[in-house]
Amino acid sequence: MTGRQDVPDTPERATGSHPALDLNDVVHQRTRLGILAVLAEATEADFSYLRKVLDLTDGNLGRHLEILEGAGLITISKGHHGRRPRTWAVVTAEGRGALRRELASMQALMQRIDSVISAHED
Amino acid sequence: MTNPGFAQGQRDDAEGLQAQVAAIRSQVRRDLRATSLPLLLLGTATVVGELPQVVSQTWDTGVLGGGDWFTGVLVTAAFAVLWWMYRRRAFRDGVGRPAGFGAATVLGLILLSIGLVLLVLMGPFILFGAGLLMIASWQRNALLAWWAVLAGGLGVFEGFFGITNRLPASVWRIWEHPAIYLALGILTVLAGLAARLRENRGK
Repeated sequence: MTGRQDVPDTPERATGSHPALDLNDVVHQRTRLGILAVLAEATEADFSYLRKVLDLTDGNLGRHLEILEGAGLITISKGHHGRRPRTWAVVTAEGRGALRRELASMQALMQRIDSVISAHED
Repeated sequence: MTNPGFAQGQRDDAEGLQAQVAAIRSQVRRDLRATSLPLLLLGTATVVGELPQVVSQTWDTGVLGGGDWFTGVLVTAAFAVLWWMYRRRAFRDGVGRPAGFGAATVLGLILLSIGLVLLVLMGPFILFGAGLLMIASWQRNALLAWWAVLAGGLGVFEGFFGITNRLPASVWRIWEHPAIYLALGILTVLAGLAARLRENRGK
């Protein structure tokens, strides 16, 4: 498994030597970031809603949900509405935190690159 | 040494992802009618509850004469409708869940059943503010939280005649108390309409 959990908190990470080191491979992927964004807003969404909003195929969405579930960022539950089977994804507290940290890391990365590029131009 | 081209690519990638997240969040809020629905329902309940008092000089504004008590019932009913609508939306569209709204309704019913005295003392905005704050907390919706604190706070303050007693005496005094609630209700409806327009703009 990749991601924040596999990277120990070294002094370099703690001091934030480079914001790119804080990016979480599990979360940073475009589709998984989209899934977490939907769930952070709605808390809970079913498979068909996620597929429609993110414009994904069943297989693609299922694979990314499995990865997020494996990382403990979401939980998956299955149920029925009438005779129609539904698969629901719910974001965990860890998932919310991971999305928040990822957005902060991206912001820090952009600021860092802006300063490096402007220094390079000077 | 940093390669400017590579760094710029990283920056563009991060910027694109941030924009994607913002767009997705906006669409989900739109699909949920997250901000407009609570404001429109609660504002309408308040207006319907307070308007008869303001337009009729002869109505008794006491506990059994409608007004505060009646508005409290309507606001609680609005929470129940809200809970039902979000639950229906969750099952129909597959987004969101009713958690929090049920709790708001239960809170309203508890306050209504055991807290009639509290309702008379503090007015219906104790239900309005507390319930809306719960919804805001569930949705992590800062706008709703601000409105709950602002309108709920002013309403509870007026529940102790905090605003009325600071106004100069006038022939309108009998209507000042419900008129202040009515104004808060109308402002809430207007805020809900503004939120609805904003939600529709993204479609």
